[in-house]
Amino acid sequence: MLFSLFHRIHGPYGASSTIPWGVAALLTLACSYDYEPPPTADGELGRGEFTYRCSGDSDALCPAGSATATSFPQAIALGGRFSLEYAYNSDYEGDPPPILKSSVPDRISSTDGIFKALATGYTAINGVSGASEVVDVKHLRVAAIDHLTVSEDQLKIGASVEVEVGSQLSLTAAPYGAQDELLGGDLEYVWSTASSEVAAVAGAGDDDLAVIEGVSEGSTTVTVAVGDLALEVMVVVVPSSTTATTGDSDSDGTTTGDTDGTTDGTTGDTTGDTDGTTDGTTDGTTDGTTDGTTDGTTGTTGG
Amino acid sequence: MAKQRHISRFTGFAMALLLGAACQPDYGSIEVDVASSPPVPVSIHSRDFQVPVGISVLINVTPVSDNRNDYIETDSVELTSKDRGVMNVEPGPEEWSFVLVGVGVGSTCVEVVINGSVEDCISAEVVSQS
Repeated sequence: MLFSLFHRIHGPYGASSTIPWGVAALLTLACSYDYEPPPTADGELGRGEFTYRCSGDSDALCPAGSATATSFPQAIALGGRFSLEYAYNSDYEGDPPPILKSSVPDRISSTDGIFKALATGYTAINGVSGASEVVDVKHLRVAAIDHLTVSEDQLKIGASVEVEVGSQLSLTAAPYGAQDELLGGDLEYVWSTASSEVAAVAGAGDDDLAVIEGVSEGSTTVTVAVGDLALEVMVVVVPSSTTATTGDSDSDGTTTGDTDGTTDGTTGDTTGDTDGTTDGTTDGTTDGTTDGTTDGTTGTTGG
Repeated sequence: MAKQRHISRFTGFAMALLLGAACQPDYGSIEVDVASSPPVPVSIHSRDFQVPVGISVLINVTPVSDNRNDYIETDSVELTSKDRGVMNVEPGPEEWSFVLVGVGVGSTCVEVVINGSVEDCISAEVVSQS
């Protein structure tokens, strides 16, 4: 119908007409796209804005896979790597962009546009024009990491977290300063497990994001470390709930009623092979699949 | 006759030099305005600069003449640190503006160079960030 209408209006060779249609479609898409500009900070000489960019995958300020920070950092973690961009205000538009240089390379070093925080305290990043004039300045604060947090799905977890045997759990670590401010900067993390027979760290475990895999029932300690600072999380591996097919697996605790004792005699004989499995699995899974993960759900990583 | 002509030429030249010199400003000091707001305090006066390490601060400098002839925009003013390992001085975005950078804890002085001649050296100290 649409095709015939299009055909009637534009004839059989409506290629030229498809271009405006395509442009219109693109414009519609562009307008409906919810674009959030990256956070910026005004230059101290009032000529433009600095934009913070994550230089690696382990910067707590950037969502996974993105170099765009959710906020301009209050402080950079000691040892953290990052990059900056600069854009002039409209008054200076057209001027060639300045080169961003650390005022003191011993405090914040710079290699190929990647800065690295080497000393705590404030250090100026100067925007230097081609004529060697400092056209703008931004002071960045570098802070030592005071503590780490670990979160699951942006919810900070408490002392322990649960995972089922054969399932995976994504944990994200984040560094905080002494004023409880989220610190920027790409850092080197080391994730390890006390017992890989209970829970294993999948992959290299050198990112702020780690995938923990439940191997066998039990509990163990997973540790994330940045430099000398470490945080331990108790990982409780519970039996898999996949065999407890009661239809309400998304509920937390409601499966107990129909499994404790009932399946042995009633449903067990329908399949013939569930006698042994349902007892063990359902008892374990319903104890607290969510209890352990909600110890400290008040905070978010957005800090 | 020739000798008389020579003397009169010399006198004229000397007079011209004297008159020219009399119209030139005579350096007395500098006035300094702080034009940016660093996150930690700095102490900037016409006779001494104190900046914490890692901090950059923009200053506007105006040379002050001791005679009635003021410095004008075409006069060149430069500030040069005697020890760039302690305090660095970079040109700022405007004429007679400079950015002082505390590089390393210590003391030095910053030369005031006007129209190519060193006129002064301002005491400069870089302190640690408290």
